Parts: sequence; C-alpha cells; structure tokens
Amino acid sequence: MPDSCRDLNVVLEEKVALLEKALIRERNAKKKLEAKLDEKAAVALYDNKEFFDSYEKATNRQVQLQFLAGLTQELLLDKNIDESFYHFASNVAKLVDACPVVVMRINHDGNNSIWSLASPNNPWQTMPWQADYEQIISPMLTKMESRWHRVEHQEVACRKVYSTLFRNDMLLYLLVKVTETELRLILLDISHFCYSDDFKHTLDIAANQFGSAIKRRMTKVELAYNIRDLRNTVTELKATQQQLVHSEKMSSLGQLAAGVAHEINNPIGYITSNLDVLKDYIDIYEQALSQMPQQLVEKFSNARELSFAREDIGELLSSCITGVDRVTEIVASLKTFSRKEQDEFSSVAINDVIESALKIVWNKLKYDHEIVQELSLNLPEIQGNYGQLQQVFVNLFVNAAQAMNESGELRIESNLVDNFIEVKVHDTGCGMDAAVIRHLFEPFYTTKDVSEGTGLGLSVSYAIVEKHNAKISVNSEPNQGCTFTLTFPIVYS
Amino acid sequence: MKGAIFTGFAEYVEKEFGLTAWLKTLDSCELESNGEYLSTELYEDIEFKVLADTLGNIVGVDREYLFRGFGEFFFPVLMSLGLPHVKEIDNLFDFMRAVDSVIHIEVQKSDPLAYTPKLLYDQPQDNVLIIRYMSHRQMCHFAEGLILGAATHFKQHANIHQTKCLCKGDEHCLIRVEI
Repeated sequence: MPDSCRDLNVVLEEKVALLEKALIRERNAKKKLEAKLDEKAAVALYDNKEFFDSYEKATNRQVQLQFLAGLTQELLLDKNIDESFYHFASNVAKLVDACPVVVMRINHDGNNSIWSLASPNNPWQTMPWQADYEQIISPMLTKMESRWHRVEHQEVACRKVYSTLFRNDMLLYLLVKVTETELRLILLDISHFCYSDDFKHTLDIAANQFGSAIKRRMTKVELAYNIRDLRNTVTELKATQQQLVHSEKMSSLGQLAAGVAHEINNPIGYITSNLDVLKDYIDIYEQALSQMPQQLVEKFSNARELSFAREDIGELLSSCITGVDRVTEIVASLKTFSRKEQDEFSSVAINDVIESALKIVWNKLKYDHEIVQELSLNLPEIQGNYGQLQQVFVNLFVNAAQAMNESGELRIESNLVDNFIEVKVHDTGCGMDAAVIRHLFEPFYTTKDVSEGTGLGLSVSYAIVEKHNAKISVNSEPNQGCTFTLTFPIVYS
Repeated sequence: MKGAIFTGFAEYVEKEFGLTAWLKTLDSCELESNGEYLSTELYEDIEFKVLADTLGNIVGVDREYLFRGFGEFFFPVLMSLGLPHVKEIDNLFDFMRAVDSVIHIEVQKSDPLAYTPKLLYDQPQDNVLIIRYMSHRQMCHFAEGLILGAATHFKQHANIHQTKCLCKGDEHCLIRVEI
C-alpha cells in the first residue's frame, strides 16, 4: 500500500473514532438536557397529577355509584325472589362485558333448577337440571356467601360437564343463601376478570347489597308467615276461650242441675212412696164405701161432692203418680251431670252403638225419612259407656227426626281422622240460627213445646260426651239442615 | 408515542444489531420527525412501526421478536429512572401491577391528557397473573419483553403466553404469566 493511501486510512480511522466520540458526547449532552426537561415536566405533572387522578377516580366512581344506585332502587321494588335474581344477574352480566350468565337454585331436597341468559338482550331460558352439575358446584357451595369467587376452567373437576354449560375459561360466581334449605348460585361465564380494583370493589358491594336485600326479603316473608301464624293462634285462642267459657257455663249449669236433682230426689222419693200408700188407703176407703148401703151414702150432706170425688180421685192419683214418675225420670237424667259419678267404661265399637241407637228410633224414622249410613269399617274401639253413648245417639236421632217434619235424610258417617274417630250426624231438617246454637247444650233449653221436650236431651248428651273426653260441635243454618260432629279420642293400649 | 421509547429503541438496535443498522433504518424511512428524537417529546405512533418493520427487513427478524427484545432491553432503563414506589418493588407481579402507572407517568410528563395503554390485572392463583392489555398501539409484545426483563431483574422464571391478542383481531390482549 502506498504511503499516501495508508496515511488516508489512518486519517479516516482517526476521523471516525473522533466522530464516534463526538456522537457519544452529543448523545450524553442530549440526555442531560432531556433529563433536565424531564425533571421540569415531572414537577409540572406531579403538580397536576393529584387533580387528574382525582378526576379519573371521580369519573369511575360516578359510573359505579350509578350502577349501585340503580341496583338499590331495583332491590327496593317489591319483586319476587326469582325476579330479583334475574334482574341482578343480568345487570351484573351487562357490566362484565355482557357475558353469559347462569343461575342455579339448589335445594336440600335435591329439587334443583337452572336458568341461563346467553346475553343481556336475550330472554332467560329454563334448562333441565343434570345430576352431573353437582360435580361442578359442590366446591362452590362451601365458599363464603355474598362475595364473588373465581374459578378457572382447568381447576374444575369435570371439564366435560363444564363445557356443556359454559363456553369461556373462567367462572365468576356468587353464592346467596335464600333460606335454610335453599341456596342460589349466580355464575358469570367470563374469559377474564382483569378489571380495576375499584370495579371489583363495586361488584363486591353490589353482591353484598344483593345478599342483604335477599336476606331482608326472606325475613319479611318469614315475618309475614309468623304474623299469619300468630293471627291463626289468636283465632284459635279466641275459639278455645269461647269453648272454655261455654264448658265452664255448662259445667256450672250441670253442677247446679245435679245439685237440684239431689235435693229433689228425697222429697220425690217419699212423695212417690206416699202416693202409693195413699192409693192403697183410698182403695181401702173405696172398698169401705162400696160396702155401705147406697141409701146411707146418699144421706151424707155432701153426697154429690163425695160421688164426684170418688169418680175423680183415681184419675187424679194416677195423674200425680205419672207426674211424679216423670219428675223421677228427670231427676235421674240430671244425675248424669254429676262428675262424681263413677261410670264403668269398657272398649266400645262406635259403629255398634250407632246401629243399636238407630234400632231404637227406627219406628220414628222408617216411614218418612231416608237413612244413609256411611260407617267406616275396621274402626278402632274407644273407651266408653255403651249405654250412655247409645243415649247420646238416640237423642241426636230423635232431634233429627223432629227437625225433619215431613220427610228428609238422616246421614250418619263415621271415620278415622288422625287419632280420633269422627262421627257426623247430618239431617236435612229446619236447621237453627246462631242464637239457638248458642244455648243448644244448656239444660232445660228447648225450642219444642213444653209437652214435647224437657230441654235436657242435648245437655245430657253434652255431659256424657264430656265424660268420654270427646267433643261435640254443631254446624247449622236455618233451613239448611244441621250437622252434629262428635270426636272421640282413641286410647291405644 | 413518547420520545423516550424511540431513543431507547435506537440504543437497543445499536446494541443488538449495530449503529449502522440503526442509521440504515433511519435512512430507509420517510419519517415526519426525520429520526430526530428527543425523549421528552411525543411522536406519531406509526413512526415506531415503520422503524420496526424497516429494521426487521434489514436484519431479517419479525416485529414481535424486535418488540419483545426491546422490552427486555428497556426494563433496566425504566428501573434506572428511579420512579417513586418502583424502587421498593422486589418481585415480578408487584412490578407488573406498577408498570401501568410507570408507563403512564412517563407519557403524562409530556402531555397529561395523552393516550396511554390500559392494563388491568387478575390473579386467579398465587403463581398466575393475567394482564388485560388494551391499546390501539398493539405493543403487547413490547409488554411481554418488559415482563421478561422484569423476571430477569427479580431473578424469577416466568412463562408467558397470550390467550387473546389485539394483533390477531381480539378486542384486547390477555397475557397470562406463570411463575
């Protein structure tokens, strides 16, 4: 290489090296200048940053607050539980990139349901529940309620089942307890959950609000049920109170009647006995008088009155004895009211009692009335006094016959209802109004003529029924017939 | 786009492919800025793509490779800026959560109302972070490079893949990072 050429190369190399150094110096100088500018810009930025940050936060918050306010307003509306879930789930789905959403209702009794919404503009679809879904949801049911949880596709146990329900890689789900036996899951079918912390916080607040709203709604429902139960209890209490008052009244009247009967019993005893003796004495007098010559008798100053008295005395005496017998019968009936009386109870087939009572009153009913017996077979026996129970049914049948003047139907049913035997005696007679029903079981209360009834039949029946720890009630309206219902407890040995 | 990205890219190209490659690239492009970049200024986004594609043609690599490599290179530059809070970060995921604010701040210094990419995060598992990247600039591979640079910096191994990508027509990128 000639010297001149070598010198040129050296010169060029030196020049390049110097230029490179100059470039580096220039670049460093530029960097220093940029750094200074940067510093100034940073100061200016940080001066304004707080404002811009606040502005951005306020804008985001506004959107979130609008969503929460809208949600609160909707939750305050009186929607049913299903509607509340549909509305909440579709609104959240709309917010989370309009993703598909599934709502599952999980009951402890296994009666589960599932609804899906492909996109917020579509209607909700009901889907058939498949047992396989439980594999997906069982880990979810152990999570905390009213908070969003997230699960990725690959974490799910049964991917095949997963893909029949969901098309994305991730589920965002919320567990809400509706009642002690019912849980619901809202499952958002999402491809990601990359959102700002504020947004996630808003979703959590919404979930919490919704959980509280559902709890409030269910508390309301529970309260409504409690109020209904309380009202029913109050009604029952009122009825029980009325029954108690009535029972007490009946008991007092019964005791009074029994007391009177006891007091009458002795005088009636000696009156009956004396009347018999008196009858004998009168017979003696009559025999004596009949043996006297007729002319002698006619010489008495009051011969006419004597003759009349002799004719009348027998009839009067018979009438007195009949009257006293009737009083004796009444007194005997009144004794039934006495609680002290020890009756003999034994196992009694109620259908037998009914049939025997019907035989007694058969003559009164057989011509003009139709008798329908619907007596259940194989009823258990009750503990009772056959004769007294027969008396009760005879009373009821006689009353029914008297209530159906010309014709009608007497229907007798016996059934097993829970642990009771229920006997219904229904007639198609004249019925009763409420005023009559109120006094129906009181002793000596009667709507019949004095000659027809003593007013003791139903009151005695009532006392007998009470002794059997049974209940008697009546349901009737004027011209609508009448139904007596007797309920006998079954005592299992 | 912030000038610092252009100046940083120039340094990366010089280091990786030589000064000549960078100068040839500048020479081959018709740029509004004429390649005269100041890190404090903002430049048209298209210039960066033009530079990357031209360089790719010259050195025979694709845009994704360049962006990812540049991201890895640029991470130490970002760290050297000594931005508040970033200095105290000692792990990859915390840095990734902070990277949004780092980029924002750098851009906002020039123009507080300038467009910045939106990064949103989700951590479904302790070792997984999903980043939702939204930017019309489609610089998701640069973001991948930054993540790889950060992983090297924090001495953590990271696997990265995108389940969705703006470059493939999706409405956002989902970058899944597993450590």
